[in-house]
Amino acid sequence: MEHVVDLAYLNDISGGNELVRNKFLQVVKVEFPQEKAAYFDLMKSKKNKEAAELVHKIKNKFGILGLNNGYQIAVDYEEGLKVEDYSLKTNFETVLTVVSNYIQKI
Amino acid sequence: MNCIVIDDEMLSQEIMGQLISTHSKLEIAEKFPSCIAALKYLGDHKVDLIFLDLHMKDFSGVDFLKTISSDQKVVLTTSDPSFASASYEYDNIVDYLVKPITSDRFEKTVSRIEAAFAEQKAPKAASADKEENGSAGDELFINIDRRLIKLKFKDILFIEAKGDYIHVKTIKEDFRVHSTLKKIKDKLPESLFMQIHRSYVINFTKIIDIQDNSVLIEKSVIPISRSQRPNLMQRLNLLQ
Repeated sequence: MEHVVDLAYLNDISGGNELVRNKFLQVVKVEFPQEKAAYFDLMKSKKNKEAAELVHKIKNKFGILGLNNGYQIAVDYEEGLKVEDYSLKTNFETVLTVVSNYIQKI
Repeated sequence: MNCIVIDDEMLSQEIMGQLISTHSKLEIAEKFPSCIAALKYLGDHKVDLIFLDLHMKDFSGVDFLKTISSDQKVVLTTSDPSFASASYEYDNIVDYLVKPITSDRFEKTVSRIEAAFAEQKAPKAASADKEENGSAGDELFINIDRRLIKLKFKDILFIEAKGDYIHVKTIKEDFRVHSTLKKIKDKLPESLFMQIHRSYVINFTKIIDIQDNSVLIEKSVIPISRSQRPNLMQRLNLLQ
């Protein structure tokens, strides 16, 4: 499944103001890599509960970036992590990569 | 209205800030990444409204709700819709926003905030009005679906208790209110009202006739308990 960033939501709340929209994207650019790194650290340490909490935060960014399928994957993965179900791990991490690639370009 | 935003995500804080900034009636005093920091601030500052994220590490939004005054108005902002039903237990929660929050949805929130504050001011305004007009004590306000409705004592026919609710029957319409007979009885003047049965308080000036164990008010027949009958008879201007 292809995941494509869609800025419709950010355009909506920016009222079409590109400067405001870019300010939000800059925050994503700062905050997302930290959250992604923290997620992999927690997974490595098998701290599932804390990792699920982080997935909860990351999914919000998926939603803001219009990654609706990615958002749903994150919702299910967050619940899965709490019961040691890793079946959506690869799918979730694919969406992480999509966001990383996107923010490298902006 | 001055407000604060509590959210441990920088992006969410910025988005809330943007949404709030589009409304001239709302003004952000501060943004906080944790509830603890916000509590310290609230110790010294009064705010009208708090935009509160639920999911935060160590001290969650739910913990925060249990800590603050029940009068403090709060709008919940969360990615988790599962707390929505539980949030109804908190009278101070004005709205429940699920992220990502659209500008259209936020417009509804602003309307709800304005309604909540109008409701809060209504009793004070009514009280001021009473003082100005010298008409204190001839009315009360009942809360129906977060709307305060003024009832003149003289318009109330009777009140019936039904489970967790009371039914207030007036000349024009009936109201179902989540309250007890005792609470409303305490607010009504004894000169007009009396309890004639464990489930009924009546405006005894509205009585049309009395039979052995009941009174007729408009078209309603209301039972009189045996113990209350002498009190009722004593209060009537009875020609024998």
